Amino acid sequence: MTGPVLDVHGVSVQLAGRPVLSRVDLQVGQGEFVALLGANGSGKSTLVRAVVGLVPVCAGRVQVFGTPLGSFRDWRRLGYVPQRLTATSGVPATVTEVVAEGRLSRSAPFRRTTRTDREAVRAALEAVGMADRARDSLGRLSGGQQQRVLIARALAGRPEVLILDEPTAGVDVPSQQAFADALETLAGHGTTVLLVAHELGPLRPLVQRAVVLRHGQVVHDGPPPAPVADAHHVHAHGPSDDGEGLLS
Amino acid sequence: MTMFGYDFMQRALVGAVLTGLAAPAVGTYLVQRRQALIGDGIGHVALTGVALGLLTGAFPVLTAMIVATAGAVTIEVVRMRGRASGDVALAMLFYGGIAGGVLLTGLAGNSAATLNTYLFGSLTTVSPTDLWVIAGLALVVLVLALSLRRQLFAVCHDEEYARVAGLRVPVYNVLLAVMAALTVTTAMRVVGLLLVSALMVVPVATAQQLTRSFRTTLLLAMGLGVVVSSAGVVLSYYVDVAPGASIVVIAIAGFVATACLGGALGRRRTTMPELAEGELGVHVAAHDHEQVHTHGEDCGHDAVRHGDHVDYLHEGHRHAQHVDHYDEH
Repeated sequence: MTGPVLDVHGVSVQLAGRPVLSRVDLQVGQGEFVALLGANGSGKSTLVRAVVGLVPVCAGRVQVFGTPLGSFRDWRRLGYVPQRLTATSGVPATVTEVVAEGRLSRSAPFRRTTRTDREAVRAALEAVGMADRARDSLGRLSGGQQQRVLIARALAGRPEVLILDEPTAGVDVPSQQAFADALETLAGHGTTVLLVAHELGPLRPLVQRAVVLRHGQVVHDGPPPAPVADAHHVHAHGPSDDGEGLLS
Repeated sequence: MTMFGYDFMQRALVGAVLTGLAAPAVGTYLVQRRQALIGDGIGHVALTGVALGLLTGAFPVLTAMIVATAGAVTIEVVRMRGRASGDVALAMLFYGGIAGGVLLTGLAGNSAATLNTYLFGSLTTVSPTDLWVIAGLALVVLVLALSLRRQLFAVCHDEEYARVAGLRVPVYNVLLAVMAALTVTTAMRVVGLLLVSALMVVPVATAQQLTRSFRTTLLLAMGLGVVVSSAGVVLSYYVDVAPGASIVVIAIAGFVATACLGGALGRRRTTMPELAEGELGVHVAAHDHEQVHTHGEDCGHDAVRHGDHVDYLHEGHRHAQHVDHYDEH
């Protein structure tokens, strides 16, 4: 018997006094591939941030692998890809150095990088098709390639569940495809995936279940919504440009 | 007698080498998290510590270390709380630190000259006891900065990710603050409190023009730190100025020289040009020749970074991928 990997029950979140989520329920079972959809401001990013403990919950409870989040310590089982426009910081860093951060959940302070660490980093870079850029500086990569590096960082820890916050936002087509291929392989190996997305794109065939948020509440939990026809596609590039029929 | 024959010069040089190693080691992490000016703030606060030592007759390096550490931890706590008023709170702490230092020094009956040796460093006032303290603190800072490199790198690179990876981020944040305070105390006798931050930041800024990895940036910055602080001490001996001034001027000269050199080399490299904000063109669905072609890394069209996506130069205009077609930008 295995309980849900992620169990969100009646969760409400307020940010700066403004309610962002109200009484949200979400369960993700072992091996499931769940997409969390919604327009900008619907609270989907806040929900995954609450799940990984980056945003305090003001009501309800979050359990990860059956353990309340507050006492969860087994972070190596969880891989997280935050929403970032860029992965760079104030000092140059190579692709390998950033992906190696993903091994820290399996390391202890003062411990050196092991051979297992190096092999896991290389395997993670191969999975996202970036092995040939391992020694490059992050700042010289495109936005899509940097996003793939952040995904590799989450994979390097060999997690059982992968939580991704808008990993394909602003990503070019080859990167999106490389990323979809990597996720397909992982899902095939039994990794549980919770993915926040604006548009599913090449990921659509992988999604088993979609949860749609609107104004901080779940309005749909079931099969992924069908893509809208091209005729409805508005060329405004504004917040209404969400490409998902259920979201507008 | 050469300058190396003088005991005070030997002590000043040893102090300069230790400071030159430790300051950029901590500085690299501070620059990484875009807190280049935090060392300056800690230096201001430490001045009150020095003055307390002068007033009470205690050992000023020790009192400076205690007050600087308390100040640095306060700064870090204010930062972690993330309040909008935090910025003003830090400003008050910094100015209060320097004003308190000047006030207490005056009360202690010390002259401006004494204060100057702490503000801008001094060759002749590094006592043997000072040197032992400097060596001990520098060693602690270096061991922590190098042996916790992976953890500190992760925390400074992406604090939220580090938290989800299970790192005790507040512990590392406070540790880094304490390391910065110890470095300020270490560097105080040689470069002085007002210029210590430059030795933490300028070698890093110089190094990162030439490097592509964090590790080499850290090591090169430490190497440069040793070179500029030793050269500064030697220059200070010959021209009789405060060593802090000569060290920082040499460090900045090195930065400018590297920037000119790097600029000349960089123009020969192929870099992805970045489009300025405001150049966002009208979004028109592209003509249909792209149906037979998918733009990508190696499609033969030059890539231009454009805000959050990549455009591809295509027959004199730019293509941006948008769902199932390309927009012309």
